[in-house]
Amino acid sequence: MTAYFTHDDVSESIYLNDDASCSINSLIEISGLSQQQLDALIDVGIVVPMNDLALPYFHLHYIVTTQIARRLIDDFELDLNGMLLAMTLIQKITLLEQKLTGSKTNMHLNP
Amino acid sequence: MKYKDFYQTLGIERDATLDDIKKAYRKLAHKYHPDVSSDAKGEEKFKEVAQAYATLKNPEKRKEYDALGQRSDGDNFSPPPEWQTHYGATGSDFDNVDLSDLFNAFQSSGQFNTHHQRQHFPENGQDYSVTASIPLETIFSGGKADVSIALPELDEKGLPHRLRQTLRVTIPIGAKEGQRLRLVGKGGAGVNGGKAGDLYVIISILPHPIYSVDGLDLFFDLFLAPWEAVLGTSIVITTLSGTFNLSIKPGTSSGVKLRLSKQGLHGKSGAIGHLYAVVQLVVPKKSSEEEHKLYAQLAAISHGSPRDNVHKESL
Repeated sequence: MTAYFTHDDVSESIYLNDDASCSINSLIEISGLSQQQLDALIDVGIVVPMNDLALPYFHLHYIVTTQIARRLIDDFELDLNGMLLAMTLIQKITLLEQKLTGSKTNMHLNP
Repeated sequence: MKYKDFYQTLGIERDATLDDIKKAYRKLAHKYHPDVSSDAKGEEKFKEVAQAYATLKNPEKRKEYDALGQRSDGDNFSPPPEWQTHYGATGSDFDNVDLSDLFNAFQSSGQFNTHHQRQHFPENGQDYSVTASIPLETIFSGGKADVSIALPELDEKGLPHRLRQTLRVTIPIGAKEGQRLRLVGKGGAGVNGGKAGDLYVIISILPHPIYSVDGLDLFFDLFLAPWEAVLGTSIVITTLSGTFNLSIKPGTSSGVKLRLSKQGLHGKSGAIGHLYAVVQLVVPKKSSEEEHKLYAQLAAISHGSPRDNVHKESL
């Protein structure tokens, strides 16, 4: 049996937070979404551009958001409306989880 | 080559209809999909389910898979002679080939995908993700972490082999649980000039033996002896950011939180969390005769009880 093993020292990693941004074309390319699907996510406020330019820029954490949208479309065979509904609900759940964590922290500090 | 029972993975009979297969997949996808499931092992389980579904939903792939016969999951088997002829390979060339990877490379036209049959248009490599368990110390001060992943790569005959790689990744200061790093071009290899896919590293903070994390704040238990809590004391503690002299006021009770300002994790826009020492009184399980006498004296001259303020009806 052949042993397959490599070791690679990677110095270039891109942190997908909101310190850096990417263009709309990059977001489409990286996520695999169509322009129409991305526009729909912007329309419902799931993805928020940094500016009002014709070719807007987006915080890098939206790469994660748009990839989730793409995975849901592929893995659950969702149409556009189904994907938007799922993404809206996921966003609400995430916000509620953050509020719950915040409340727990406050209770922990001020019992 | 190890057999994988795709029917067992989906929990269906071998004569299941396409509709049955879809229903079983949807049910399991709802349960394990990493974007909707809270199951810690959901992603791993979903990958198996998705691989099984990808093969069984495709009539050509399913036919080829069924021709392997019914075996037990994990059984070693020799690949059919036609596969060996097709790839120009021997049986041992399939030894470390994953059956799911092989069927993933199987074209919908009913042909296995070998290099000489492959279309000549560029194909971009697949994106992959891996969860990396990062020590709190690395999150606190930033640093390097080794991330291991095994990705399928085609050999010269077109057989997919899992290539185990260890990548040394730079972890930024203050990375949060669940946040992602994108390693451009470190995913699946592209074909015919296609770009390599990306690798996404999902950060998971390893539980620390001393500290617990809550947002940017860190907490640890500060154990005090009863006399230290009563009389007050000064304690030298070593934290992730250095050594501190902690002054304990006389009359400190268990549960009191002492804050070391801005000694927590670093967040975005320069925000820094705090470090909290949570006082825990530890009563010695054994005491000497002399200590026992002193406690008895203390009890005799002490007034009041910690239960005095508790409403009697609640006891």
